[in-house]
Amino acid sequence: MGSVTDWVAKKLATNGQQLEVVDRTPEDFLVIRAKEDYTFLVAVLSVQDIVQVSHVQPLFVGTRKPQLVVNVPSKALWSGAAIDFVHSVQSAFGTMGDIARAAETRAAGLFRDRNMRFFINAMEQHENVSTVSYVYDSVFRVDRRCGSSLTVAVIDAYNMSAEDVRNARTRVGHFDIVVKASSYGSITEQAESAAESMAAQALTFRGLMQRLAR
Amino acid sequence: MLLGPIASGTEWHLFGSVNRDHSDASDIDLMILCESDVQADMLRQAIDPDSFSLPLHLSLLSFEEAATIDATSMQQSTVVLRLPPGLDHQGSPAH
Repeated sequence: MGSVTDWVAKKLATNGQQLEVVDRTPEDFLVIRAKEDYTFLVAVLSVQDIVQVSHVQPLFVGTRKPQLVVNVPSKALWSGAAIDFVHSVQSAFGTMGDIARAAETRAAGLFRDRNMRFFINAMEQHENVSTVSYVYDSVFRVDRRCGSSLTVAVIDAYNMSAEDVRNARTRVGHFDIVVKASSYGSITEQAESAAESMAAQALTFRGLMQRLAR
Repeated sequence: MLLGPIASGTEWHLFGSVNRDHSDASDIDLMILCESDVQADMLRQAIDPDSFSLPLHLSLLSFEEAATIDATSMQQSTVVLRLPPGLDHQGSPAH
């Protein structure tokens, strides 16, 4: 039975996304070649629940450092501390699907999830927000100048359903607000009710911006 | 991926770039309409997104929810699988 790194290498070889695994370093990082000969290093973790700092720190002790760290399974969470550490060493984190997205940037260490970057920027620029920090990869603590801090969970959904809300609670625990990433689509009445039953609110991006002010 | 009776009565829809048959689709947008909340929660647990060839964006809605927002028309989805009702989601025969 192969390692999870072998599994990722095999998937990349078969998914037709024009990525080629050209080598493997002694640290077991994958050397990925993308279009126009852009090459970068990917480290693969296999943490089942929550990726912690203790999982990622050992990847950066040698002279060769990965530009991207991915975890399989993609359902696992990344802790805020692990994310902050990875970013502090000019690297990026993500899932296997992010390898192709990182390759497209041609600066894989600077890759950031597009949706999360949008939400972080928007919340940081809100006049009533002092700081935004990661709790998990799609969950943020938002400290406000006026009013209590809020925990905001972002769901990658076009239409937010009650199951999306329940699944978010199961995965990440408490949140005050659950917001859908897409500015299109709808939030179902059942999703709003599910959030209310958790003493939370299901909001669109616009609703989130209004809520941060109050 | 074998889901067995927990998927009975569900309707599976593709939307987005895969549904439009784009050769350069970068992910799979899959919407599953379910008979109950319990069934939706069970399917979320049972479906492994890493088992697909491309990254999976999975939406699970009850039929009732999908109807209230007209989700299938809104997302111009295509039904790719319709499973007959069978056992209920607790494993007993459905009435």
